[in-house]
Amino acid sequence: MTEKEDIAVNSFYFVGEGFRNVLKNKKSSLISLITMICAMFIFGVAFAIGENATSVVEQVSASQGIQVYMTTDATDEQINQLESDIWNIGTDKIQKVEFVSKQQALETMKTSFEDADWIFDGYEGENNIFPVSYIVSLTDLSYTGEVEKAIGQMDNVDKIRSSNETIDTLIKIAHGVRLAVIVIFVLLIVMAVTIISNTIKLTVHSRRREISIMKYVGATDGFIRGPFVVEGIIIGLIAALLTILMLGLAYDFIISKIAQSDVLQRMNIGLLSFGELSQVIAIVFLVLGIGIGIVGSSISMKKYLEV
Amino acid sequence: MIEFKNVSKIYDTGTEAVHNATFTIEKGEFAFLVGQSGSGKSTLIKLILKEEEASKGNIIINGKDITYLRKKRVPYLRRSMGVVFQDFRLLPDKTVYDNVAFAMHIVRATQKHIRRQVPMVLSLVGLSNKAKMYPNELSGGEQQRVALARALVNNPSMIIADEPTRKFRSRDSLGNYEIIE
Repeated sequence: MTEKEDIAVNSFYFVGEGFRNVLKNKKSSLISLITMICAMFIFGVAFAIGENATSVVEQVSASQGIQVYMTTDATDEQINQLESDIWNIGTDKIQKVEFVSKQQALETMKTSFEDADWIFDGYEGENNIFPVSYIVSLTDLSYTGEVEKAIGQMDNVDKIRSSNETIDTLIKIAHGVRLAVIVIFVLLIVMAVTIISNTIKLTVHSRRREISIMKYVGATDGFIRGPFVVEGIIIGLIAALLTILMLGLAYDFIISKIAQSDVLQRMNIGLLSFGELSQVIAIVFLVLGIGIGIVGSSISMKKYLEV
Repeated sequence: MIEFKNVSKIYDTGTEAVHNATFTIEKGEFAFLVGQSGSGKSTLIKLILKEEEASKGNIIINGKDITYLRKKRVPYLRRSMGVVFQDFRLLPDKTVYDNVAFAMHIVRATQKHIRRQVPMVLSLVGLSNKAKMYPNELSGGEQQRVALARALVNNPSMIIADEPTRKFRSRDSLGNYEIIE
């Protein structure tokens, strides 16, 4: 019989022993549990901030769009042609194409000169000097350069204006936040693995006699490690579930407060619901919990198996 | 069954615990190793269990030279023998029943087999009524019989006992030998 078969056959025994160990070593189980919950919670908060920042940037920049001005002599046919040409760049890149007539352009100008709109009085109807334009919204801002270039080569396009700088800054901020989240994530994993493996090391140390006895009676390393690994997994799972629950409650509470703020409402920007975040968080937490359980217990047992 | 060929063991401290031991114990044989304390009896058992490595010579068990046995195979060597240690080596937080059952879990015995075999062995050593007690609730003699039950439970081809008579009145130890026989 190989060690692998040993482990497979004994998995029921391991699960039973693992649960028993968790309950028996309440103190160290609790320390591991709290450590993991703290680490996961901090990550959860960082992740939620990162995702919301990205989402806000996307919403803001989607509202920007690229403005494409047509030459003043463009005929109705040419105007329609341009719209279908823009759509032909690809629906994977173009999200929306909005037509702005001469009249609408004039109205917009008037609105922005609220108190002095009389200066546009002479430009009504025939005298309207504003060109027809399209506002093109993209599915993803990274297509900006490419789409601008394509539109620039089309007929009857006078000039293109995009709020490039604003968008670039926003993208940079979003990237920065994302990077910070990744750094926090890595630091937390290192921290959690270190603390958990130390906690397990204490448990293992206090049970070294038991371990050596197991070895003398003929237990393989895998057989001895089994219950400890299961113990780690159980703690990891409980930590993951508790953290998701706590994070969900805290998130919904805080978001409901922030969402009432004037700035966000005026800009018509929505924040993500916990439901939208929970899938990724759940997967990360479960993998993290189980992974740290396995890695932590394997690292810390090594020394005591040399009998 | 157990064969020592010119085996010596010198510890790192320089103490020579075993010097040039050569002997053979055949199947079914009852062998006693007698000597003063510190004369190397326990070291000999450690060598058989591969708890210690021989400094010189060869040890052959069940026809296999264990001198160069790979580390991974050591647990399987230990399973082929039932060992009663001088200090019993019982698991303190497991009941008498679980201490014996544990040896069967290791060799992946089925639950059904364990439930049948453990009570049988416990009754053989006269501890049926103490199955639910913990080692520290037992006398030295009873603890030793738990260790003996654990050694016997998998029907090993050999039983090795370190100082099996030390803790008891002679009446008890006679009992232990009868059980082993």
